[in-house]
Amino acid sequence: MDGLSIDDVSMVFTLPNGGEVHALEDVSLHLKPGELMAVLGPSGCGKTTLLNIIAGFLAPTSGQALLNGRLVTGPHKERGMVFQQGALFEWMTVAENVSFGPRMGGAPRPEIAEKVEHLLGIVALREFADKPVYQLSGGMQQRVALARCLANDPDVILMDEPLGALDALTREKMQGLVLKLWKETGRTIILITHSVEEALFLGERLVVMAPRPGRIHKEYTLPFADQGVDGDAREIKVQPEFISTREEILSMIWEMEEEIMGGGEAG
Amino acid sequence: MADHRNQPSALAIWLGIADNTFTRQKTVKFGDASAVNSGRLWSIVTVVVLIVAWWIATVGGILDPIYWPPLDGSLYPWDNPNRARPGVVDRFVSLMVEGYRNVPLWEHIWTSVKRVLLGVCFGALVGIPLGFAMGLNSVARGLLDPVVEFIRPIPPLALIPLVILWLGIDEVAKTFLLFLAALFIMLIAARAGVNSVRISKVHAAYSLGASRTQVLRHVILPNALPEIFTGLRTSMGVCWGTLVAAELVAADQGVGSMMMIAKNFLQTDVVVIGIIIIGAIGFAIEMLMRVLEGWLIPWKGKG
Amino acid sequence: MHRTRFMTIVAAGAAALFVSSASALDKITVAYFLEWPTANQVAQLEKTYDEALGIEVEWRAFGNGNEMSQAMASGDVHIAYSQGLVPWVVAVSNGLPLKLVGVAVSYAEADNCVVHADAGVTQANAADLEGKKIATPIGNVTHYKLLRMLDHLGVDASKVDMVQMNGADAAVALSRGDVAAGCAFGGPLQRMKEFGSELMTAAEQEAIGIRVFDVVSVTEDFAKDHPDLLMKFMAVTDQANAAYSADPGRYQETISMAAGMDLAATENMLGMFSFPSAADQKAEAWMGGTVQAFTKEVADFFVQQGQLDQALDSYDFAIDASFL
Repeated sequence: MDGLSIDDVSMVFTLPNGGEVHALEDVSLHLKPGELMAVLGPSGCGKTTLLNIIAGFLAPTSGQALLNGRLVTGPHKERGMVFQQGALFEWMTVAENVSFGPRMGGAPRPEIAEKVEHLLGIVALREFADKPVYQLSGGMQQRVALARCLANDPDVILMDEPLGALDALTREKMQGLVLKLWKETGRTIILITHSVEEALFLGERLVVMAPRPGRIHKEYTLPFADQGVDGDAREIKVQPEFISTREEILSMIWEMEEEIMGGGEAG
Repeated sequence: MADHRNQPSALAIWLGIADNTFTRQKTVKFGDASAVNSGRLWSIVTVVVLIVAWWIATVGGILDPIYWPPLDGSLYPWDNPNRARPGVVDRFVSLMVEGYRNVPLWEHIWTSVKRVLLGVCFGALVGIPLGFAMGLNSVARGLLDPVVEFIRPIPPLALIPLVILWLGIDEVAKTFLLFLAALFIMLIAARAGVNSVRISKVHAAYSLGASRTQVLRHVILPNALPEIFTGLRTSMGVCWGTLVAAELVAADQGVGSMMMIAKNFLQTDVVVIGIIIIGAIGFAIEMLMRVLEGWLIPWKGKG
Repeated sequence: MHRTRFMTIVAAGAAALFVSSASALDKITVAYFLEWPTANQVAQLEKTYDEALGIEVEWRAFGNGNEMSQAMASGDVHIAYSQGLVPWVVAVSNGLPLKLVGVAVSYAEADNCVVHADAGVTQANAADLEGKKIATPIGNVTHYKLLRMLDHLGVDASKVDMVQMNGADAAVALSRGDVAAGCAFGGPLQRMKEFGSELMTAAEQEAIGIRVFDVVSVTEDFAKDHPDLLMKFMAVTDQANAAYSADPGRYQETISMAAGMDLAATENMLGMFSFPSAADQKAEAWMGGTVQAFTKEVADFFVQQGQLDQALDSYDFAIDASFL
């Protein structure tokens, strides 16, 4: 079966004192090739754990993840990762970072050069190819990270709060870039974010997760990402439907947070 | 209001007697370490005062040359002309020209520097792989941990008796002592370097299709380089400090040996020159390593 | 409150340390060598010195005579018993206020250089030592003897790689074959002889005018401030020497204990030693003129060898037999 399947995945961490944390319980999802899904939820809902399982960094306690019918057993270049920040190799230049995947895979030099040229063009960093990455701003660094991930032509791109550390203006511009890349490359993307607005704007599908145990609380199918590919982000974000969905999700998450507080510290 | 019209001169700022424009606009200065200026003027004053004091002591015959040599022997009021001897300046010239015990001064210095470099090189060659192994493999960690933790606190000089028995008195013995001093510093630095790698970088590399060897070669190693370089710098300093004592094992050549033998002939001036040389070279090594660090590892602290 | 108390304790401790080091003479400290059996060690072990002087006499072991000079320069040591003549000459030439007040022991055979059996060097081909390593303490009698021997045998001493090592370390280096020859005195010399043979015998050395003896030296201040104590010290030493000379066998066991050696080695070494009496020392053969002349000879030789910067015109002023 094509696409990414997550079947009844549970994840239980055993604490040193013998206690257990149910990070994920019976999570099931299916993404068709080319879908963009945003995952949202309060801290502790297991969204990063879920991403780590799909990436192959963690093996689930039960259940499985499948990509195009193949079982995920470890990291693989078919599933690319974009981290929040600090995952670039600061001892390399921009071009060396972008070409890392193909170089490790032993691709021919001319092909690598061409690919780097092309990708740096897409993320508008051609001028900076030979600069060390630590001289770049935060937004530019995340563009390098996107290009580095795309250089391997992954089937799925996993983004762990890739825009979380950026300032509001840069963040908005980067959201447009993510949409553009999604449409142009047709990749399957899972994007984890803390920002409800970002999830609404980028997620063709939006999954809200709930904590204790981590599980899928509600799922939406949204039109905004398609509109955002060519449309004006500001206009989309002031549509009544956008605002009402945002308020609905915000109060949902608010309630979850209240519940945690009530059951925990406030008691 | 800060006065923008009355700018302090660049010289005053360099000397550290005036605050720079930015510091001048700070209202809280006590407790703000960045508002403490270099005080370079006082550094210069210190050096000048020390030299002048030395000169006064020489001319006034205040310090017996046995305890502290005159700056220039011709300035010292010798009560017994028989005892008149050159001062530090003349002695230094004669050490450069004629040498000490038939060996020119620069050769003594080079012998010492060579020993330190060899010790640090071998320490790095052995310590870095071991440190990597300890950081990456639990068997290596288990095997080495007790040995490392036991031997590390022993000052290398405490091992001199054994080293003489096992390795004799030649270069091997002296280099071995310095090697030991450098080994554990390098090992621990390499292990810390491995431990400092951010897991997201390793994950990113694997997700990009890198193999284990490639992760080691292209991620863990370069990531550990800043720590390794700090280790190199530290072991240079420690080895330089251990050197003098190591050369006492069997003094023949080297700055430490020169001082040891000079001591037996009560040539305090040679001893003092040795001390100054050791201080100056230690300082030069530190400066050189800092320059090298900026040049070789420009990404340090920027990950 | 606590901090105040802590600071008080620290200050009091520091003051106590300072005061104790600066206090007046409540004991005298004598430097000596281990593995160097001398007749007066009977008096050392039986505390005869302490009784006669009416003050505690502390004996502190040193590795070589130059360390004794330095300790005397710092004021920590008042008397060096059995300091080599050469370290004393070096010290006085450099203006250290040390007085030679007696001859402790005369020995020719107990201080020598041994060539390793594998080196294949004898007097005939001594020049082969050029370019080789010789372990020796530098700046003492042993070193002087080595230089004189090399000079006599036509070896260019500047081409020999002389490595500064105290006797015990030199013996280890020779046993391992790290050096072609090693020079030492006392116990380490006996150990060296297991691995090779002497370059020149004591008799051969005496024939070319090498004299070997250790001296009793004191700081000028001690001689000036406490002449009575010094005279008593010399008297006890003379009595111990006389008692030993009258019946050596009776004292050897006590001496071996004090010297830290086994009895056989002590007997062997004591056989090579002679302890001149006070009367003999005052005579022409010792401090009546010979010591003065020989001292100047040694100093000039070291200057000629480039080891000493300059010699004094005369050493007579620092040699004083009046305490005997």
